[in-house]
Amino acid sequence: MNALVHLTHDCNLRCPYCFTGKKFDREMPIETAKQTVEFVVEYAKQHGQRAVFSFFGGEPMMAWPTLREMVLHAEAVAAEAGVTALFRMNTNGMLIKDEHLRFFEEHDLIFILSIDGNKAMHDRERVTESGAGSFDVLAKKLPRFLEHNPGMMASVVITPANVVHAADGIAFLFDTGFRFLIIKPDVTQTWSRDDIAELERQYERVADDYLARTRRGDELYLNLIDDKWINHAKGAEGISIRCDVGSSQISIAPSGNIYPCVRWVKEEEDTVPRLGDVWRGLDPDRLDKIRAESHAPKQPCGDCSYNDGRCANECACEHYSATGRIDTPAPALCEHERVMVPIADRIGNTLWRERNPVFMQKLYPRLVQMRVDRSTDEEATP
Amino acid sequence: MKKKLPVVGKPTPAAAQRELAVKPVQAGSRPEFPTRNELYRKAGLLGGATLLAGGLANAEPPAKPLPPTPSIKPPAAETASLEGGSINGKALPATPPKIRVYREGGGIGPSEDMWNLDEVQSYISWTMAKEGRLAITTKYKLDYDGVKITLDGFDPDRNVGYAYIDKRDPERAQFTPAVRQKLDDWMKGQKLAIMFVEVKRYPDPAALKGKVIKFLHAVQKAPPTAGKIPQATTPPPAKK
Repeated sequence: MNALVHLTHDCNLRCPYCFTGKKFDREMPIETAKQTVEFVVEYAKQHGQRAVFSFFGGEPMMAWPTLREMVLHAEAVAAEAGVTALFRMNTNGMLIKDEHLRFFEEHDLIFILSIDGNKAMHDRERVTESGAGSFDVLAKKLPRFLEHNPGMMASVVITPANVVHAADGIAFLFDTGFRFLIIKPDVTQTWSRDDIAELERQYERVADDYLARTRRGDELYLNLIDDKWINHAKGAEGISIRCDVGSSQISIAPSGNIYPCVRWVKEEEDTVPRLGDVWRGLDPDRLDKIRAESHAPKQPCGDCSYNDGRCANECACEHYSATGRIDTPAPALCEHERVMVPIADRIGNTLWRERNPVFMQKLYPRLVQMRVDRSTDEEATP
Repeated sequence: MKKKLPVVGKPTPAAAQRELAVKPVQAGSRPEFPTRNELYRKAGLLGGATLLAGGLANAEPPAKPLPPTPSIKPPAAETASLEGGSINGKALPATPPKIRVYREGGGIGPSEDMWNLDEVQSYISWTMAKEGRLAITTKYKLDYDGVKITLDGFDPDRNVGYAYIDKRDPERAQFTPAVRQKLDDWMKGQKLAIMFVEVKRYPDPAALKGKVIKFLHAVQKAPPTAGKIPQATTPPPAKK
């Protein structure tokens, strides 16, 4: 059970693309936080799962005392129940200090950092309430963050407003020391034909840069490319359900209400049916309904040749946010994927022809292991 | 038919994307690189090293089967059915337990590889018992040379066992650098042979089997000689 826990609706930034609804000062009360822990641990115990607490917001660090208390409580409750508790967080990093990093290290809390590339790209969207860019404050913290966790993931959002900086922004993150990047286009925005053409130019540059880095032996992850390679390599039977709303993942609002996904925690609007709450548990009928709709074929995709796991059309809540229907992707998403799939294939084909060791290890780890096993056998055989 | 989620009545963001369209691709780009199944099947026939080297012309024969391990034999008192190895006194199933690595999470970031620790330990216990013909006792409480730890599997007659940890193993804290150093020292001094496996990403059965076989070869060359070590009666101190 991966519980995305919204500790507060408030945030110290005002990024225009934020999908988690209006920002207002409402934190999760400590009693609700403790009840959330007990609900999640009990669910995990009953289903033989781990209890994963992914702190979200708003900005979860604005509710630091609650977060801290919740981690300690979860460890105690999970230990008593014989369940493994894991902690994750999505954060803009602005409020994180050394004392917090020490706590994260002690309690194995791993955070994903929201950062939109370099200063030009980041400050276009990630602004404070006064409209000032937030890059300079964050940039000072990056060396310490990467020292704390060299494998830290960065989460980047691409919009029509910042797309012109995308290639430079992504290269900046790799040059800074990030090795794992998650890039998401905001497909709920009004992309024009010119924006898509620019996106393609930028992605070609991103791909060429990724090719060069892979050739020199850098072991990196860029979801735009790697996910398409890996889903192809795994084949139809091996493709994981990358978005599993309401199945192994739920979102819990500061009120204790349970929703299928972070995008649907909009308590001030309440347009999406809740799945229950942390006191009464999950409503099985609602849960069945959301699962069935999430896993149903996407309406307009039909027999599209990219609909074989390479297309990132799996996010039910993203569709709902963009089109109002859980089974209908946005035109911008389709355009994005029609740009990205051939680019990922081009780079992958090049590395395959070269039998690039990093590429081979990523896609075919057992083959590489076979060689290791074999050389070991031969070495040990008299 | 079940009622669908409410369709949003007001104009949606997608409605503003007038210049764009959802267009299924009929004959789009296809990767040249194979699926894992295709490549592994081919590698099984031709030998994995060949494909890695980039050509079929240098095809090599498949790997030789593992030689028998004469120094590690089942205890004389065991029944014939246990000769091929055992776990907690029971003969091994014919096939190894499966490790299911599945994906969990997603939405706000990539989904994560998840697995069941018990399945991984069952797989290693089975592989070790089978390949080494060992009588493995699981969750063996070892109190030896000033070290108190719980081993995931151990043959107290042969003094061969293993400890597996990964980032989700609640018992990983007991393997401090000092304890790991002891494991190395015991191995080098031919006292106890404890394979220590730490998985950083996700447990891959082929990789784990490779480690077990490599380890058993080393044990075969230098078998431990500490004599039978009885299981500790008191559990090691609970640690995070």
